[in-house]
Amino acid sequence: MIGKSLITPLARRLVQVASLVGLNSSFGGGQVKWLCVPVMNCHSCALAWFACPIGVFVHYAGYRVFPFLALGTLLLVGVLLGRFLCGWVCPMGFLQDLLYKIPGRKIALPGWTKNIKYVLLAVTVMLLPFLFGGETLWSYCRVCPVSALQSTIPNWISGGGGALPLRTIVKLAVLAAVLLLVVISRRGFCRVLCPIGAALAPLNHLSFWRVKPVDGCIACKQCNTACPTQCEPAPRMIATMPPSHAAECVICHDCRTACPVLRRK
Amino acid sequence: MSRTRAILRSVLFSAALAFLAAGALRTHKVYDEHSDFGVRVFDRVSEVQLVEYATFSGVYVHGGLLIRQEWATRLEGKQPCPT
Repeated sequence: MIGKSLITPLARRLVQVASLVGLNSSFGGGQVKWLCVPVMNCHSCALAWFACPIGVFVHYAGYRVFPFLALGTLLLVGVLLGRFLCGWVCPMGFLQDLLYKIPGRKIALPGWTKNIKYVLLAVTVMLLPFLFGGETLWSYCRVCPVSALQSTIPNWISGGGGALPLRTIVKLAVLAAVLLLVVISRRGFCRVLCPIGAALAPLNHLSFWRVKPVDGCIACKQCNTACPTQCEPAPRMIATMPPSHAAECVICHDCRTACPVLRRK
Repeated sequence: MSRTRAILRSVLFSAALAFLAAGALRTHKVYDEHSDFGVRVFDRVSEVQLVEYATFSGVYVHGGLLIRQEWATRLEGKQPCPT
């Protein structure tokens, strides 16, 4: 656990900006694409330094080879940090934080929608690539909105534009739908569609890094309002349990930032 | 509960390290795309190299074998993953 001095919304924003630039700054080559970093950052981006574990899982399922290195990295990060990278490092998380600031109607998604990401992980990242090969049209990568943003659109522009095949149109339509979703629902992609989030979520309960509960919680529930992923930290705060044990928590520490007890200290 | 959590955490942490060690030590037979007189030549590549190939579809599966695209070993031949 870390004291509140380093954990501020400004620090998180700075880390998100630095991560976005840092993860995609391979201008002179020298990439380390054997290393999977468990955030949504497409390795097909010409400037990406690292591999996306989901892309590697899809291809390894197609190869029918067990992804020791990718899974080991994902597990290690999950056990050490839980979903900390989702809240602080993931470029898609940063984009969602920014897009949610667009004013307009906002909605709370039904609770059952959070289970969709587990189905996507099992079916489109593992099962269908295993059955039909890594290049199958039914893999997650084929409709991944991050891949569309970082790879499909830049490649289309650098290729001089021109007619789009149907599969690309479908991918762009998914991207448009996801962008709309995250404008109206806070961290909607993380909660509903992110396969890395699905892989890391169960590890939140065990991870070494956790959000410290507040001593002397007054049950005002302002943390519930502040939580970007609607994981309702208040009951855990009241019970002096780390709120980051919730599977949906992205360990942003916004619950502690919103806490009036901590502000008074 | 916290004891169960600590045990589970230790098990998963150990599993992660074991997976990483297995990945670091493991090699894969990767065959050339073209065969001479029906005989395919293969290389043994590390897991690290196979992960790299996976990021740009440098390897595909044919007849249960991992086949390396002809351009995969040329740096300039690397291209964005078609998915």
